[in-house]
Amino acid sequence: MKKQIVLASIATLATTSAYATRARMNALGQAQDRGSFYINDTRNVFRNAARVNQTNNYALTEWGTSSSTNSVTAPNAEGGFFKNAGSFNYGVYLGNNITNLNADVNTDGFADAISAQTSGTLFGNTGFQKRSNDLDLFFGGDMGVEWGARLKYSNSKNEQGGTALETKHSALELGLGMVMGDLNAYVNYVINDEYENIGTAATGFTAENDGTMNLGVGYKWMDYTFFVDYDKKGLEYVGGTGVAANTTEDSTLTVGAGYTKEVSSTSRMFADISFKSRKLEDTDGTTAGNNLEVKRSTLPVTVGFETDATSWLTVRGSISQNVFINSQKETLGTNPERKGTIANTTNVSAGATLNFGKLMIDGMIGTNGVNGQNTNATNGVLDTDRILTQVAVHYWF
Amino acid sequence: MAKKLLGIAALSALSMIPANATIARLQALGMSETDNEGSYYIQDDRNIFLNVANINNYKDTVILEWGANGNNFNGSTLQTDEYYSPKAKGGVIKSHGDFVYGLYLGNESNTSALLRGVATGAYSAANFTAGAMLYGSDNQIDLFFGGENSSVKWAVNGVYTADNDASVKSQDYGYAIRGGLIGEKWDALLNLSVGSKSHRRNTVAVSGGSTANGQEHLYTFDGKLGIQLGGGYQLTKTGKVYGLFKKFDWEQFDSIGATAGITTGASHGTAIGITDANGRGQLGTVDGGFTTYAIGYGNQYENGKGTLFTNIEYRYTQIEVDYTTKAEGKTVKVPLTVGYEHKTNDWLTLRGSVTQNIYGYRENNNYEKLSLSGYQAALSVFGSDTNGVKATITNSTDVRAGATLTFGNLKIDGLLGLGGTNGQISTTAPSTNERGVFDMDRLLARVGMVYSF
Repeated sequence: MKKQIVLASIATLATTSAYATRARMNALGQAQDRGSFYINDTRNVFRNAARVNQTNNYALTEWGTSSSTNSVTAPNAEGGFFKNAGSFNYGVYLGNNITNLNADVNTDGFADAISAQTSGTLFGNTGFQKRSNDLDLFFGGDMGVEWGARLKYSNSKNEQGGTALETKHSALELGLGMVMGDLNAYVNYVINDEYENIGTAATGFTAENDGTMNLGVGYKWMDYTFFVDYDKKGLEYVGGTGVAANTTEDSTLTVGAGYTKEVSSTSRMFADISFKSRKLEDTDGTTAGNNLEVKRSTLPVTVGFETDATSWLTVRGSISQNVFINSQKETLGTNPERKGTIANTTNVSAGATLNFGKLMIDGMIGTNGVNGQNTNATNGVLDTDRILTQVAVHYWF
Repeated sequence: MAKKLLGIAALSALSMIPANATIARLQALGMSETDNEGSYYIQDDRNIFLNVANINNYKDTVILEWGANGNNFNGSTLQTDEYYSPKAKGGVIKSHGDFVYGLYLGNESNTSALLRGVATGAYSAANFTAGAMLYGSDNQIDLFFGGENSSVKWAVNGVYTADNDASVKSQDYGYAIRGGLIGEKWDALLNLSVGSKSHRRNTVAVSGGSTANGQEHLYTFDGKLGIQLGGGYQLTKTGKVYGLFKKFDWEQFDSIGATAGITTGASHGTAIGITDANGRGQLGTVDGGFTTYAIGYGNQYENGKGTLFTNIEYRYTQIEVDYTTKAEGKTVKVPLTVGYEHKTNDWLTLRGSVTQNIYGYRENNNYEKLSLSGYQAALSVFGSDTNGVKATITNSTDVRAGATLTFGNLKIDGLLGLGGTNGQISTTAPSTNERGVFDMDRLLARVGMVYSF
């Protein structure tokens, strides 16, 4: 009986194509890293591992570079498969690095990166071993309560040779989640994420995780989903033996509600509003005058839609903007606090899915700009040369 | 290419929906309003920003206009919302019983930005190559509410925008209220700007021991009550007469004014070929005013799946800044527009228009008093300085084209024929975009999506 239900679910997925990838999340104004709080999408397994029970028997490839960096215009390559096995469901996913602390490339702190002020404090070193080859293993089941677990692992090293010290990186993350009827809860916790040595003889260079976690709860009531989410990234960097540690952290508390409406059997409407309280803090272990703190309070609103235009084409789009609450305060050292608003938060995104039976191709549209390159991403042009960007292909079996 | 066309042609499971959508459609049919606020005689959902009562005609839709998420006037050059540099905006209009409500995001005004360019202090406009202009509106929110009874559709719209950038000591805010009525044969609108202010401070940095070095440069824009009145009457089954009046006054303050002795090594004025950049502007408070009025006649003749549009209007536009020597821009013109729209099949609607002034002149004076950003604003709207004499508006013939791809309840609009000769849509030299090329690569420009639910 359970198998029949699963098969029925898969059949529904194959006909509506409503479940897919980073590109779909971006086109609908949601987060591409862990997925949506309220829109069903395969990406949500990175937020709540118990979602592995709801979308499985598919393989997914996200096109991109093999580099550890990841952005909308330069996505990283990742993908995997999810499979049902009797009462259980499991999945293997490669190359996902959503909790990458970027200590190997980014020398700015989290606060510095979004502030108009520059602290000048270092929070990484390009000599560190690059993070790579992330492996996520999923396992879940349904025993009245759907449950799931995710284990992320990444490990790499370079012996260097000569007097240079071996560079190493290792990361381990655990995600746990449950879905019980309309209620869901999850926690994702980085147990370890550590970089050592910078490829020279210099000792004491380290960068390690400092309490990175994501946890939250959601409750579905009719067409609404209410959610609370706490997300924190933290990093402690030591620039050599005897040097005081610099720490940077970025934490966001989100409280909101999402609305999903099946307008027809082929069309869906989405809307959400949430209050976000975000605090970013860079602490310089040596020079207190470089300490930088940024606080943001925002109330973003998103309205989106998705419609199956034909049997082979699904088109989606969204608009989002901060409304009424849109403030930023920042303090550098002992300087007076700066207050302001966050500029240019209006964002329109669009995307499409090409449906070929069990094979679907997702992408963003309208991101190529005036000269056919995706560096000019927002000039309102429908470019038929590079019709889709941030492409993903998923195959349901 | 054939495959591409066949693919589009295969979009056959489509319903018949009137092709009323977005800025691109109205621009293809000849609209050339500064704020793209809609048409007085062509039905289009963009008209909700002209006569807000139109929300009753376009309920249960989501509207998305593709574009950049930046506000449009805070850099060193004018970056208003144009087809080659569109600004992201959109919203949702929803019915609820007998009422209609809506939320629209990001519909910042070009006029607001242009006037702030005029009010930007001359010293800062000349000497800061980036970010010196008074900020225009940002993160604008429009809230709509309306309804209809047996004979009249009505609606009101509140507009709110505010931004504050402490890093450059800039603040800007604006509030407006719109109201509209639509009867069986008539319509009327009243739009009021009830608050519009912007101010900014920069620190003067000059070499040569000038006493101005280190001085704070404060410049402000303080809008007074702005009013837009308009209305139309359906004279015949196809013809409509309409009129509008728009007036907006402001005070601008400049704490430095004309400062011929202050120069820096990197004058933005020099960069754009203006050598007297620091001799512009005026110390203290100066009044400014902007006036537009028009009266016109529009005709829509429907013939099967097509519609022929014709329009003629008399339009007067004038701006002045009351320096001791008044700077002024003025245009008077009578444009004639002929447009068409044809639903070629279930999935494609094509449209186009030709416009030309049958009478028109501009009469501009004393641009040399305007700050560089004001000078650029005046150039873009009124053309070059005529030193107070009348000059014919030359080369006013303009042809535009557009298309709508219809996918059931979803429509994708855009402008056609803007790929230029090299397949690129230039943002820096827009005049090169119209070379008579139908570019299938950059198929549509200023794309908008409308989803009806």
